[in-house]
Amino acid sequence: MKIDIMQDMMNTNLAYAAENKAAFAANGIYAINVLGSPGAGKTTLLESTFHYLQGKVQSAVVEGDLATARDAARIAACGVPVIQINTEGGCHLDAKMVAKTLGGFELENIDLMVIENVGNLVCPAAYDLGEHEKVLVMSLTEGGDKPAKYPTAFLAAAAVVLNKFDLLPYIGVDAEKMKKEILEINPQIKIFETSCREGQVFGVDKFADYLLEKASKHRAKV
Amino acid sequence: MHETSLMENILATATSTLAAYNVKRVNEVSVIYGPLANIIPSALEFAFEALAEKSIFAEAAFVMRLVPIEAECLDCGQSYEAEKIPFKCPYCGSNRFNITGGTDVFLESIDFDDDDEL
Repeated sequence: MKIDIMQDMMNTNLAYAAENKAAFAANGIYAINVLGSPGAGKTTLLESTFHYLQGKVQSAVVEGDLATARDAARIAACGVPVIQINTEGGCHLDAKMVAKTLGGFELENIDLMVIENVGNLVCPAAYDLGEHEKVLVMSLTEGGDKPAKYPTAFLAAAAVVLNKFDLLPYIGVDAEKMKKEILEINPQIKIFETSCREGQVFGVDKFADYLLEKASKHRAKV
Repeated sequence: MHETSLMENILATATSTLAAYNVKRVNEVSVIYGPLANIIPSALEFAFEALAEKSIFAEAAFVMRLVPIEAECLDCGQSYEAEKIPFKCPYCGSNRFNITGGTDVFLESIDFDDDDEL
């Protein structure tokens, strides 16, 4: 005999994602899930962004990495509460890992929760962590062809930060073509151009304002 | 590469579903998946072979079926199957959309011989 089941096999993850969503909603928190390849500049972008957001919005960070607490130390140095997750080889964060960290934050005081995913352009896009939106960080040095080659992350993201723009003159990447190809995949995606290199920071203010607006609007609705 | 944990969930769900029956042998486990689930079919097949060994699924065939990406047009509201990038609404031509399907992996069905049938 044949029995139909039709059950979502991501159901465990989705149940925890719903739990996280409820915790964010109860505390008026706007949550983002930051994705990108290792070395795209996710943590550096966050350091720069928190510099702009200081005093304007209370942020917190869940850091995901295979190993070490190095990123958590960098975020903590910005004066932002942070909890590090080590996946010990796991290629993405799942909602349960995030759920376990939330008890460690004073959620009622937080406006913006940033979940920095494990560096990986593929798997994290498939896991809902309960966030309001996914933000993709891609450095120009990864190559202009990457959006077309890794479309799923671009389809899932609401915004993409093209980082390391300071290197544009040296690397022969056609940034305009890259942006055009990103918009072909996802016409609604918001594109930011940044450099986070010390002494040459630009564009981060626009990204920070975007997050500030999202968090403030969300707070006002609650 | 999260196919192994996915397969653990598939087999656990299948096992608990079958607990209500007097199963003699499992013939087939069917799964459907979307292009945006980011899974590698061969890796999922490999995980099935590895995890089904010495279980009630050891003799079963593992069948995977790819289903299309489903999108909802943000301009005319129609739903459509999105085939290739760039996605475009076949009804009004708009390129503004919400993805509504093709991101998941479903355990679709199980085919087995029930002892009570005989």
